[in-house]
Amino acid sequence: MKILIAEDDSLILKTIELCLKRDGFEIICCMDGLDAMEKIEQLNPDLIIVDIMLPYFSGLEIVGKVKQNKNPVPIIVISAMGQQTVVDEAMKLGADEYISKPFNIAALTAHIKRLTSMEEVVA
Amino acid sequence: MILLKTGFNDGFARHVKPVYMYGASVVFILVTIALVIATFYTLYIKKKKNSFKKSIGHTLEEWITEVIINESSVGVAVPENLEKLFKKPQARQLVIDELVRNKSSFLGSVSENIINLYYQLGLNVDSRIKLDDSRTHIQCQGIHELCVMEQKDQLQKVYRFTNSINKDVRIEAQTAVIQWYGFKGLRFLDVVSFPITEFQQLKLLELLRQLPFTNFSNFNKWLTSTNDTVVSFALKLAEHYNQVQVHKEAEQCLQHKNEAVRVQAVKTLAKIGDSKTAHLLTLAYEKEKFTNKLNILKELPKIAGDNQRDFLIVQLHEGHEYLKLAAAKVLAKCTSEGMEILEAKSYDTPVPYKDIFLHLKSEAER
Repeated sequence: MKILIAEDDSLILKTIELCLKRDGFEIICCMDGLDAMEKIEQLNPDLIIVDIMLPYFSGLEIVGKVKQNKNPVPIIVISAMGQQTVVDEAMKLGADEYISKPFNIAALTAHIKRLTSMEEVVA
Repeated sequence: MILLKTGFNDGFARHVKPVYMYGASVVFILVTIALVIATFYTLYIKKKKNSFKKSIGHTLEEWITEVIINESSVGVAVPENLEKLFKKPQARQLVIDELVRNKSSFLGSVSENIINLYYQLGLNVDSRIKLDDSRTHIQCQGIHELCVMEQKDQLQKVYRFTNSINKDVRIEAQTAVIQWYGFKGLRFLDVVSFPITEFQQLKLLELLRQLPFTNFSNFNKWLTSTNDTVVSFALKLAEHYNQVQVHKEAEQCLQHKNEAVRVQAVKTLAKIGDSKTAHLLTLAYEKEKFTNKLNILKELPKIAGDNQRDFLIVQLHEGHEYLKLAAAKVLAKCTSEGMEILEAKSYDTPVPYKDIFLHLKSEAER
């Protein structure tokens, strides 16, 4: 299972990457929106985790773009505290789940497992 | 040529000897050279700091991540190369920055591991030392680090800063106390004598919104504080948390000498008031200036009724156009036959009541 993580803070990105790798996921890391857009097209991840605030393309733009595809993949949006309006917008655009900082890695993993198992059922 | 024609050159040459001119030139050149050297030196130091950060940043990041994602970071061994590095204050600060940044993003075991690592490396001591620094930005940094790393044992020291003469230090300390102790942390309001800015009040309210509500202990004291910003903030708390028991004290704030307090008292009373509050606000209206008059009329729709009809009809005839419109809005919304009264008025005196009536009619139809 390939998961793409787009997060501009290298330490947070690295922490999520290592935690999810430990759980057996294959991880693709991006530190900006442009890189994320390119890798989504090239590598076809099974799930995307995207921070709202990213350089070049915001998390919202990525959600909008991905959900326009014929076979959109599940997206989890990471937001900072107090960004509820932006989160609502992301959900309207089609994001499947959101998680606010500070968050528990176990909660993130639970969301991933739920979304990916749903995908398997649909497939 | 111009100088010669004006005679400036003659006078200048007569009063200023060439030796002074040479002296001034030399001083000027020396100052310029000193400035250039200082600039290059500062840039060199900054570059050195940055390259140091870059050179160890990656190694540190790798190691920190490895430690904090483990089941437990207690008793973790520090690699030899990093142990030497941790003797340098710059490297220690870099680790603190990384840990603080990460701690703000994670909960659960990762968060606990970050705190353990912070302790184990003795970085809590570094943060504590910052509180004794004379530079206020360093004090702020220390308070922030201790706050994020949940160093509640430093409460006594941090609590003293909640009434610091420096605004930034005060803000940081007040935030820390509330982060640690929630609503109980508000006891700094008992003693704070420096102003709590509007921005800080909003920040504190937002912080409290995310915490489980417990009772307020000293509300009466806050509402009678000699610090006007404390009174204002207490009124905001009463409004947000429906503290109806302080209704009487809030009423007294309608007579407060500070207009900002009176404005807030109106807002609070509109939320927590009883059947008599609307009448009280209309009484206060007469003594108020334009801003609070408009404020009262904007808040009245929440509590006004037919008893306020006569007052509102009077306001339709008096004062600024904004006040007339605001009074008409309350009249239309809160009184029976309010729209009929306005319609009749629009026929009697078309300017400005016809526009007001049509505006309210279209608003009602929307």
